Amino acid sequence: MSAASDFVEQFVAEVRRVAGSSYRAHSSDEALSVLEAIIGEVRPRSVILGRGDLLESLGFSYWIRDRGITLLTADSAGENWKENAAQADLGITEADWGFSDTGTLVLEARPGQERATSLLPPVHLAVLSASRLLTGISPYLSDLARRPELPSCITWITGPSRTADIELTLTVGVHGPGQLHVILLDFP
Amino acid sequence: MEVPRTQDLEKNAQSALQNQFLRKALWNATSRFLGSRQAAVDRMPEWEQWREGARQIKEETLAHLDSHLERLIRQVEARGGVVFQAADGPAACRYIVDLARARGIWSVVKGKSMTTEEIGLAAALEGAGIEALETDLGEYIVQLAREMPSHILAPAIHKSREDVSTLFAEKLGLPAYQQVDELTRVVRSQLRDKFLKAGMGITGANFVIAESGTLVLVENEGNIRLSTSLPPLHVAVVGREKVLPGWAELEVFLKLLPRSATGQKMTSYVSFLSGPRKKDERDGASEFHLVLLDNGRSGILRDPELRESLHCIRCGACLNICPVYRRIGGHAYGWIYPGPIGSVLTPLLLGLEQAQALPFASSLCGACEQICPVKIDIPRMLLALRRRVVETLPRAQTRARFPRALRGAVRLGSWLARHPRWYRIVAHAVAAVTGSDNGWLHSLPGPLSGWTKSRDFPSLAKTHFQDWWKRKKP
Repeated sequence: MSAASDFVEQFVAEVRRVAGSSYRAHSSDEALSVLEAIIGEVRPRSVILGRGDLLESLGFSYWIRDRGITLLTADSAGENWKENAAQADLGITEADWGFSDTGTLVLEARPGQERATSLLPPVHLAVLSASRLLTGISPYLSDLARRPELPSCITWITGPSRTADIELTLTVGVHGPGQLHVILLDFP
Repeated sequence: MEVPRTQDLEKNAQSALQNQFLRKALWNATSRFLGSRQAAVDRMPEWEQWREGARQIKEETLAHLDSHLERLIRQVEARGGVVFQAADGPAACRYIVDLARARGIWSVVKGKSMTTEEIGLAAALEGAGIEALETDLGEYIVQLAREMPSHILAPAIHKSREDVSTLFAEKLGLPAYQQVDELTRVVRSQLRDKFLKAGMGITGANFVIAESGTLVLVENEGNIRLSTSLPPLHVAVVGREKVLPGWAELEVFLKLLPRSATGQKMTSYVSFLSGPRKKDERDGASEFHLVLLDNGRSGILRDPELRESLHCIRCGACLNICPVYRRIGGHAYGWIYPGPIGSVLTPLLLGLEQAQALPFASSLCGACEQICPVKIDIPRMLLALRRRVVETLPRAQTRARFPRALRGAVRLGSWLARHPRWYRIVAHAVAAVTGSDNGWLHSLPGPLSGWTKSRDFPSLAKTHFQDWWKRKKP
């Protein structure tokens, strides 16, 4: 097994270890069938979709619209973005990076990749290209230090929102999403 | 409910020791935190190097704090943020209340922040007629009950699920939910609307990075993300000592903090905020204020003996391992920073006179220093503070702590130690009266009865060590 494939395996395992769900997809069709399964389970009335090259190439927006589900984007929501996003049942993002040793997603805010998409809906689905996997925080932080400009907000996401504030009982979905799904796209 | 005070440490501790639920809850919680931490640390052979590295970074950063802060302020302002340097708590509170009024804000959501607890910010806002809601689940419960946090990571560990259920039924008019996930869902739906409508979000920060003006926020629930993403205005209240020079220095702290605190390799969310939202972004605060809080920190920095208390990253590990904290809990300490590090910070922040009991609430076993991820020598500082209590406070204020009988006993002991012949005579006499091998005394006379009221005292051995040694010696 190559080192790169080790990282993929490790990432997928770590996401599961922190109570997330992870799937490997080797083609667009495989990615779409994961989306189909998740939508079948969540049964969302409305979905917010982030903007990204990968999401576009997978054709998620067409697939969702075809099922008669309301599709919301930062562009279509206009001024009422926050209120609209708060109504959505599923948020879909394209992660910029992943850390294989912790199963972490990195989301960098920019127009089209709004913070609420991965935060307000009860379910968050992220797609991540295997080529964007880093071993851990070290290479990412070094990269940040070299950048001339920084995003207004960078978020590292590791598993669903969690708390153990009542009797140390672990509970997910306290303020952020209670479910986190990650599709790791592993094809050229 | 009556708010416990630092002056009443002994009384608070007594009542905590008699609370069976509290003792069990404390023991369970701290054991769980310790177990998870140990498992995480065991997987990291580099742990000791990390600790040493972190300690050095803190030392070097504090040695040049002013220049790092200057750089931080320049960077935050260059990114469109506003910086206010608050000399003390009241100045910070006034600034934030005035800001809320100037923007016509009547509703504020708060992320968990020890620093805002330290300055009583929520009370200040409420005093000005501005709703200030704690949104961390534990803090929300504690605020609803009008109590204080009892642990810096798990503020409501002193409450059972039944307590929380009754509290929600009483204050929110909700059905008496019994399941923890139901209670958690209630808070999500209660607060979601508040997040959407609040005019201001207030948070602390775990670290601030001077080279880029970035705020680093570590959490599991997502309420801090909501507080910084939804309201149009974000205010961060940050102690001056939280600054780190750059991204390179941050790495080791991001590895140490979650592992020391909860045993997690990584918390659910880590946010890095660099200035307000940018053009064409649809969420994130469009206005950002950083309140840099001094509140006594400059004085601590100038105090070479106690300076390293500013290294603390608020992980809670020293609370979890402390044999005193584990039995009496956070409320007994009477202020928001409990446990070993609290016994150092509280006298420094509230004043030695008011908090003089705290440095004595330790057996000096040293476990806190060994577990501290930044190697703070807490026992050394507790001893230094004890010396200051004795040397600097007027006798009238410390008399209760050092009753005549105790002073007499110490003087007698010191005299006996210098007179071996008398020492032998007295030791043999006491052993003859009380001695039994492996025995315990259940009650002692006079002023010594204070000890045996709630615990036994080991009796002297029947055979004196010096006699035993004489026989043993070849």
